[in-house]
Amino acid sequence: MTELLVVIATLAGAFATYRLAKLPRFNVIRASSLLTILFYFSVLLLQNVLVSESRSSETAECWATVFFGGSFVGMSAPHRFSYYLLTISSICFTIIFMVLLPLLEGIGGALGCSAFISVAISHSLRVMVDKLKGA
Amino acid sequence: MKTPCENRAFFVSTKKEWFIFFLVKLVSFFFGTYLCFSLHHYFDVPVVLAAAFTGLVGSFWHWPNKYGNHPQAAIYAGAFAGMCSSAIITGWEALLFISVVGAGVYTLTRNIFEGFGGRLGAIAFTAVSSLILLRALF
Repeated sequence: MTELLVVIATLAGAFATYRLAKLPRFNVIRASSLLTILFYFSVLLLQNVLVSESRSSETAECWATVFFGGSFVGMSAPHRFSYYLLTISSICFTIIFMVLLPLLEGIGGALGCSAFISVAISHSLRVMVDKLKGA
Repeated sequence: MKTPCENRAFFVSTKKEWFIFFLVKLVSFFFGTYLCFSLHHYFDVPVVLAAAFTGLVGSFWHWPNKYGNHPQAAIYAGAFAGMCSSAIITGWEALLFISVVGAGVYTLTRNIFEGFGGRLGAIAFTAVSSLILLRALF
């Protein structure tokens, strides 16, 4: 169940950032940061009002981290990455997030680096498929 | 909408321009790292919130048009680097080292991997990793 929620949060972060960055007065940085702040407070509010959990701040931070990572994936340029590739990147990121990131706790940029690796994987897959089609 | 990396408003051709570009990156990167680290280390703001807040503040910082979105992107990259724990950023020298390496990597790779999501995070990770590696070696 947790794995599925991580995938959903990552996809939400990626798609929301990708869409919002296209709007006037927005760019990828503003979209990613603003959405993460909104997501954090939304989760915190839900935890406090609906669940009344004592460790709500930690839970909100954990889910905001997942969303934040997803938003890095969504910072990809639309002319290079379609929604299809964005979905593949998000799934790759989820796997890296759950396997690799616990080992890199406390190291700045690890989240963004994981997003970069997942985007690079999906890009490589696209290049490979294009070459196979051409052959 | 252009990504920060696509914005080629500021062409770097001479050594002087390269140095100015690097200095702008350095100031921006340092600001991002310092603000994010201060927020979570001294004011107990959650790390993710500190980085996002730094990025949001940086996105409203107006720079001359010739620099494009590069300084804002460098602030955001700096914020990622500032997400480090106090075990890694132990003082001003560590903060400065990360900023110099981060700004250097950003300047050298400004036209590589354009439009790839997570590029800024990878730059920040490279800067932080180089500090860890340097500490391990010496």
